Amino acid sequence: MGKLIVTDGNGQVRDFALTKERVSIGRHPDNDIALNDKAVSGRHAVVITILKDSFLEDLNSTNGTLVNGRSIAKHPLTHGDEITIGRNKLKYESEAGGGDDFERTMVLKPTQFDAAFEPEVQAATASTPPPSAVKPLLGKLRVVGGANAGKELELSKALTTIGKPGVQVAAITRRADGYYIVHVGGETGTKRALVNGAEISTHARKLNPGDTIELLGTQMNFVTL
Amino acid sequence: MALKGKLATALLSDPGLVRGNNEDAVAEDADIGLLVLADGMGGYNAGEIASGIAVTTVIDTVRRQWPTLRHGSVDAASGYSVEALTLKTAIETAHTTIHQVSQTQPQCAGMGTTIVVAVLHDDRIAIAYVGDSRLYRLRHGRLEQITRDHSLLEEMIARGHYSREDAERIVRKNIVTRALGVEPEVQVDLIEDTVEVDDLLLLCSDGLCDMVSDETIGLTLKRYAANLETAAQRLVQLANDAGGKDNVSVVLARADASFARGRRWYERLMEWF
Repeated sequence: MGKLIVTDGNGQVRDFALTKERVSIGRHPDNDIALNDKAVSGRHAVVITILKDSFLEDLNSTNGTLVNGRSIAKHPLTHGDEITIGRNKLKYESEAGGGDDFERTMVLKPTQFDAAFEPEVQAATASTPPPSAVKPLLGKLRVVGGANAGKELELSKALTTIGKPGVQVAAITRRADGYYIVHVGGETGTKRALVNGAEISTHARKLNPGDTIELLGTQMNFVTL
Repeated sequence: MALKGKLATALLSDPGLVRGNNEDAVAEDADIGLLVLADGMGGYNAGEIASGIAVTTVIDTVRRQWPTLRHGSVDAASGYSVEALTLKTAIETAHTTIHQVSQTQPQCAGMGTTIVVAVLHDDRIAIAYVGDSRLYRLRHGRLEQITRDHSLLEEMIARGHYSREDAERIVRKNIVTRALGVEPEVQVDLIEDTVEVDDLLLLCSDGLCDMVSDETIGLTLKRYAANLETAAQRLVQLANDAGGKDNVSVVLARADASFARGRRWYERLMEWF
């Protein structure tokens, strides 16, 4: 556990141990480190601590946050860093030790992550299910123009194939971070579908909302819900 | 023998140069086309126990369920194939076992493991994973990372807190956000994709990808694609040459021929046109 040694504009010094995942700094009295200084924004910065590492983030403050004299938006703190916020200096001292532990894989509990990054869910109990990084989104293909205009295909499967075997086939796969399209049928041979006018390859290409897919002369838009 | 002659594989696990024990575990079932790799963590030899249970349980569970599956069918609710869902069930079973052992055996308290499992069937691949062990694919000379680590680094990027560039500079690589056996519940991610003849698949522990760049991994696989044993040895050697700070394990598989079940799967599963 690291700590911040806070020296305010009047030379008053206090230590603040970084025991919480998220320590707020600002002029407003409800901050963990409240700095009574007009040059400090109400919610100025935050120090996020995950296991032994601490990160400083400026919260778009009016006058900015300096580390060792340089303005930062996000900064991984290292031992001895001097933070300047308004007329206040905050010196970061890291926890001593480390050694072999440093290389070992560690598991971060979901609750620790949420406490660090989502202050609004800090009240959540340990019984909350593990959060998924990204909400699984549902994609659709919508036909544009022609007799089938408006027809939709929900991409609800992990692997969806469209086309005509032996003529033109594409597969759309769903991953945690979105949908990918890939040509099926080998490097040579059958014609390839187009995405935004460019031929797809046998390597996955990520689909973005609004992308136009052309397959067997039919134009489709990729949309997400 | 479904995949006999159609799938070449090589498995290699090495303790590296620094660690006294090997907490990684690898296994395969060549008949099914099942590949498993786990990277355990925990005090003393608990990490080895966790990864060992994970690999054994997954292989056993899939072997038992495989003959009973309605191969080729897709679960309507989740959109996943029965093959993919079987991998998920197998990992969840392993998770429960590891968690129970860690709760009841003091020397195993807190142990856990990552896992990545792949099964090749019908010219497709189903992948299930938890943690930061990865699956890469070399296709037409180009390497692609198919899985996304369940790590602090990826989580920060996914939630929009950091760009990839910032995160890789700032965030430590060895913090995972999911592992088998640690929390009461585990969330397994599934990916399904196509397989083309000559595709080369690599499952690896972070002992490889933390020490060796993706570019070097890609070049090595390309150079030794014809000889998977050599490719596996070269990859492990590269990790050890770079310091070998962690156990390093690789599972390689190359599709040498189509293994479609009857008609090509996409001819039966075509959605449109």
